[in-house]
Amino acid sequence: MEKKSSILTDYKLHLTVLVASILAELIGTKRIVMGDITIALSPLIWSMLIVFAIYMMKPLKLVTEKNAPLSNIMMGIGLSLLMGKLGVTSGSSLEQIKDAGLALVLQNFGNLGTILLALPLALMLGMRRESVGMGHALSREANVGLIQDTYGGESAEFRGVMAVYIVGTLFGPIVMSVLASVSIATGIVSPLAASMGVGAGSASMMTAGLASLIEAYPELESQMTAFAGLSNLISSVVAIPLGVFFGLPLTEFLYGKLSKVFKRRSA
Amino acid sequence: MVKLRENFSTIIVALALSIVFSTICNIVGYNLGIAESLPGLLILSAISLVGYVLSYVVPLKKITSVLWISFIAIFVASPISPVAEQVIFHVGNVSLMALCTPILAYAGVLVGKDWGAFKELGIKAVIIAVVVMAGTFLVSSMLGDFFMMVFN
Repeated sequence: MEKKSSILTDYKLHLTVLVASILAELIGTKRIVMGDITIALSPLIWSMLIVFAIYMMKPLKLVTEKNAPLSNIMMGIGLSLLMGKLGVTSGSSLEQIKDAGLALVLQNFGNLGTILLALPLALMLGMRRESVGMGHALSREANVGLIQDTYGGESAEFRGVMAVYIVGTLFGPIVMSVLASVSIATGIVSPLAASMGVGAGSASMMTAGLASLIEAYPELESQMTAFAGLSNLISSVVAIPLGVFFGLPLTEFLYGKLSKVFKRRSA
Repeated sequence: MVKLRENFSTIIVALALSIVFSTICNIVGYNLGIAESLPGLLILSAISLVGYVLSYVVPLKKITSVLWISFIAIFVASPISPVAEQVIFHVGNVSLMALCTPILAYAGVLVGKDWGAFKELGIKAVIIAVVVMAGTFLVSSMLGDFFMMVFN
């Protein structure tokens, strides 16, 4: 019962979040266009920036370090609602996945492939436990939820997943469109396979990646659009189980092996 | 179960607050009314609550609340669920963004608290994030080529 009162006694925190959220929604999505590159700043970025700015205005004392544990709890609950929303969207499209074909379904196991590249790189760059959050998967909302649930919002792992999530949200679409163009131009992958690959990211990453694929192969537009959309769908359905049963165990295993190597080298 | 009893009131109050926040975001940002927003948010809260309860009751360490919630949500919206139509309709009225905005606001506090550690990640985080995206894209695409070859 004590906890119940402590949630509401932090009313300053909740009011700050409420005002920040309303302001963020009023500002809406703003696009920064620089030549061919567009960076979209959505309300979720604004709300985070506003609360962060208020936190940094320390004399205000509206939100302080004391609010961190409760923020973690509130974030966990918010993420569980979000997880529900993502699940319902997935469930409503199961029929389509059934007809998608085995290649499209199995290709999503490739989402794990990034662990082998990103984790060693993160350790090489001197990261410690952050590397687990960064490298375990392409950090979308579901992965932020998974890491928060597993390690907590005040952990190094969470800092890692948040950092990649924020970078991905801001620059993901640009990165994906460049990746898609380069990989089909060099012939590393076929255009159809690339359209499956762009589906691994968020919806905005997919849209950007798909756009550059269609520009190069307009005759394949409808097929590539279908493949990208289905792959996107399947990767969101499997994100959590893939992470729980394969991604995180593999990341932890590799971390255990590699962190010793890197520690020895730097010692 | 002890843990559940301790946390239950916390979860209920936090869920109620989250419903309020997301309803307001849904109204302000996406022009949806209270009557349109609430049913979907109540359904999502019920799914979350069942997920939390199951994660405490079922003694499988691997199956955490996130996994339960994900499974339950997929199940109730799938073709075999008798209430799929209503669930999909009402939850569809809840904007994904309206759920994200308050979550990231709370994350702002955590970013502020650990700002020193975040700053240290800096440009390295950008490099790693790009490699994470490249790795996911490339390996998934290559597997796509591989499986298309196998199955066709």
